[in-house]
Amino acid sequence: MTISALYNASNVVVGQAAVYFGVNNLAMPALTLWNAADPFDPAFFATPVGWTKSGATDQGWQLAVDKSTQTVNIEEQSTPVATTITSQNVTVSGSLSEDVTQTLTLALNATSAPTAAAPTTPGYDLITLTDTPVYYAMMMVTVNDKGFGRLIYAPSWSQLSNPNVSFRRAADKRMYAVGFQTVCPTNLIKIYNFTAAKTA
Amino acid sequence: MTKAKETPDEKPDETPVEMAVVEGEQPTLPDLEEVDRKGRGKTRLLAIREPFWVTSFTIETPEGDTLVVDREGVEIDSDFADTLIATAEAEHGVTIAEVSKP
Repeated sequence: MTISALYNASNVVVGQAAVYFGVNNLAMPALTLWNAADPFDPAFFATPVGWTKSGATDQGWQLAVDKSTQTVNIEEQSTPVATTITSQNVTVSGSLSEDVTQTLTLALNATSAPTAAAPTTPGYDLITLTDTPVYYAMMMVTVNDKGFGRLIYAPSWSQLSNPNVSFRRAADKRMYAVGFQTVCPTNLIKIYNFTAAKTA
Repeated sequence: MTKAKETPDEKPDETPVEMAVVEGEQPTLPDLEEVDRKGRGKTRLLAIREPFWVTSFTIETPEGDTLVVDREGVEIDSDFADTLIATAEAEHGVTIAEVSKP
């Protein structure tokens, strides 16, 4: 037996992800609408109303799970008898590259109040920052090893990143760092890893 | 200068809304359905639906009044409602829809 028989190179996957966000506790779209042939099919994200594309990014999205643990020791044994998880942060982060009102409200923990243009005043979106965290439902979509797609969903996330935006003439684009962090029970964080298309 | 003659269709209906006043009781305003039935004061209850981070939408009416639509619902003159909905969608990506009364 050669070592190549011990692994499957086709399981090594590269590829991008897309992030959709909506109002806090917005339900995930029904799986009956999932298009196995195209995980990014916008039809899936149209219902319920309110799922919004986050748009272009600088270097894609990063999924991270950061755990703090506590080992349980006893006098009679040198090695721990157990390990507990004291805290866990599940985050999805990236840098948004579309410099629009939607990006500003998301990245700056803000709300928006548009005013239509009138003969006496121009049209504008008034973006107001708030000290109260705005919570979001969020899901990240990507393609898995079988090409069927993978969906990561949780109903409640905060987005309290610290964007540091450069305004350059030509050297670089404006980028707004965002980092979603779950603020819901761990068992509400769901990952759907699709394995087959719907049967006929 | 000769003043342009108003056609009957252009003349606003100035028929007063009837109010029943009973001695010893406070007069009550007619409800909205009653006003609508008489063909005057037609309104639509409009509210912001999407996106969720928009708290209000402000627009100037043809009369020059400032009109603010929120997420709870505001009664808008029917003749202006469609303009408001179209402007919010086209210029700001805000979806405003008719909602039912609570």
